This record gives sequence, structure tokens and C-alpha cells, in this order.
Amino acid sequence: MKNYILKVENNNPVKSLAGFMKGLLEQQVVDALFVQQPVDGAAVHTLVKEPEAAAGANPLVPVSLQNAARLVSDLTSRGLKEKVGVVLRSCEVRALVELVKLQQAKLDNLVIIGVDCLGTFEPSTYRQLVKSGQLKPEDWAAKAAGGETAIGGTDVRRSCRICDHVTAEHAQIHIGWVGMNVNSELLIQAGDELAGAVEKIGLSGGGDLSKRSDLISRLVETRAAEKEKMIAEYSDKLNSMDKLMDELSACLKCSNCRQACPICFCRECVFISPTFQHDADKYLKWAERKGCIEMPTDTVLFHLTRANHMGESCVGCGQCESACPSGIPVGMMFQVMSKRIQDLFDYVPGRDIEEPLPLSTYKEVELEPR
Amino acid sequence: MVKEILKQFGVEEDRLWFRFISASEGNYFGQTITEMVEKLKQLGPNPMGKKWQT
Repeated sequence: MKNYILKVENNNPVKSLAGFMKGLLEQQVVDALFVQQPVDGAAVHTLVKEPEAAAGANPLVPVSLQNAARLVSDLTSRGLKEKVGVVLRSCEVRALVELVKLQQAKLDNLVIIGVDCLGTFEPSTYRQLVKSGQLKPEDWAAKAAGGETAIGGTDVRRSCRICDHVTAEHAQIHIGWVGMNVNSELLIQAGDELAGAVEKIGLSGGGDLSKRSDLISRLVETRAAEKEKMIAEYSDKLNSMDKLMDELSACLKCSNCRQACPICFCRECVFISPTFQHDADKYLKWAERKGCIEMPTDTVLFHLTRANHMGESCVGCGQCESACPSGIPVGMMFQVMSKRIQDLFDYVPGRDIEEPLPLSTYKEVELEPR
Repeated sequence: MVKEILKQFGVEEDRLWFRFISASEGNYFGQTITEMVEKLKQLGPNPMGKKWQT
């Protein structure tokens, strides 16, 4: 990767970045751009063809209504004929790598534009912060570049606070702002094959990045320690079937967690199939046997099944937890279960596109004796 | 993998068995099932069976 500095004008890093995005389209580094644009109280993902339409782009906005890997899967799974630059955070790139392995997305013609991320707020919190004037999307980078994410006691999502990925992996172009003096410069990194084209968009050579790398390693270290601690604590807390049932008793089986999960890609989930549509007799028989059953039924089974289906590829983005209407800490629960599975196979989702998925790789002798 | 998850929630590992048995190994199949039934009888009914919040 080659380092370049994007000079920021008028203390407005977002506007300068939008200019860079426009440049990517004008110089035909990419034919289209997939990037977030703030709307009133939220930010949506957009696919931009017209360079002028990139003016509203804000790749740094601290809210994500969904893990964008899902959208990139929609965009690429049937084949992409034009070159599209997709601006993604680390959790999104890692989920995308897993989706490629699961044959739900393709990397052909895709230019991954990674961006530093220190976390996103819950969408409802973000809306409140913006509406009350406490957070201006364009000022976020200047506010958080030093590593401090909380605004007036409100912090980013829990999964983000324990996320030990600041920079995005596997990017061909990367936008860096953490640890930078964002009101005067931003870091743009480009892989060798794109460096020539990116250079034309008014970039200058790389400056001193030691402050940035120090801050990032410090953040990664603290967050990794916090993650380990929280997983261990929650794992101890959730150590019996009774406790699991208690934790999940508020589950409505609404499937929001499945819908929000970038890895759960089945068009028809077994839980909406006829297997789980029972006759009244069956419910009544269960109720008779146990004296009483909770409705909806099969909530524990639903979550355990999901853990078995996507646990090896869970990147810990926490979108499931943000999507839960009952406020169940499903993200934490899945991280506890996924960690066990991933440790078992020494597998890190999103680490390497060439690394085969443990469950789709046949090994004559495996996991024995245990 | 399933065992790893069940272990987290304190379910005895012996409740779940994985064996590879070829279609031609009728005797081994019978023998394994007998062993499994004996083990499960020893463990007793799954306490989950009585719970109403499944």
C-alpha cells in the first residue's frame, strides 16, 4: 500500500473526502461508488453513478443501519459488469469475505474502499444525537479522531466498543482519519495497481504517521482486552440451559436478528418452513405434558440453530443485537458461542479469503480424539 | 461444534453422539445404538423436557 495525504480544506474533512469520491468517478478509477450519505437523523447506503451525486457522500458517518456486506452481496451475487468501489468498515469487509466463501457474493470488478471505524451509534441514539444538535455528522471525525467516541455520556454500540478492528482489511483503497489531524489532512492508502490512478486526484505524498499508528495499536489493545473480559464474564453468566432460557424468554421469534445478520443468507429459513408450523393438537399436547408452554415455542432452538449455522463466520458486528426489539443481548450471546466454534477450528472469519470454511472442507481425520 | 455450544450451557456431552457407521456394518450399528440407549438411561431424562420456556 502506498500512502498519500488528502489535504483538507475549510476544516471540513467530509467535504474533502466527498471531493475525493467524486474524483474516483471522474478519473474512472471506478464506474460507480457504493457509499453512505447522511439523511435527516440517519444515513443510508447509496450507489452513485454521477460524479456530482457524490457531493453528499460521508464515508465517516457514525451510524450503520445494517451490515453493508448484505447489500454488496445483492450487488455482486449475479455478477458485476462494471467496476464498483464499495466503501466498507472492517466488520463489513470481514462479513463480505465470509459471504464470498459461502458463494453469496463475488469480488470480480469490486474495489474495496476500506475506512477507519471506531464504532457506530444505535440508529435511535444517533437520530436523537443529531436531532438535539449534539452530533453533526460532518464534525464526527474531528471529535473522534483522538479515540474518544462518547458524546455526553452516550457511546457507540456495545459490539463496537469491544471491536478490535479499527482499519478495514483487504482494502485496495483505504481512508484513514483516526489519529490524524483531520481538519488539515486525511490518509489515503492505495494498493500498487490503483496507486497510479488515485494519484491523479490531487493527493500529496505521505507524512508522519507515527501518531496514528500508536493510537490505533493502543485502541486495538484496549478493545481486545475489553472484548476478552466481556466474553468471559458473559460466558460465566450464561452457563446453564436455565440461564439461557431466562435470557431468551423475551424472544418473540421475530427473526430480526436473522434478517440483520450478514451471514444468515438462506432465502428460506428452516424456522419459517412448514417444519415449524404445528397443528393445534401438537401445541396442546406439549402444554399438557409440561402443564404450560411459552408461546411462541422453539425460541431457544431457534437461537441455538442459528449459532450452529453462522457461528463459524460470525464477525461480531452486533447488528443482531441492535435489531432485537426485546433488547436481548443476542450479539454478546453469539460472540460467546461463535468464539467456541472458531477456537475449535482455529478459524478467524474474514482473516483470509483463501482460508477454507471449516465446515465445507473435508478432512479424513479431524477433531479426534477429544 | 454442537457439543461445544451445548457445553457452554452445561448440557452433558454424552447426550449427543456422533459415529460413522457404514451401511454394511449392521452389527456395529446395533451395538452402538444399544450402547447409546444404555448411556442415556443412565443419564436419565433431559431436564429440559420439563421446562415450559423452550
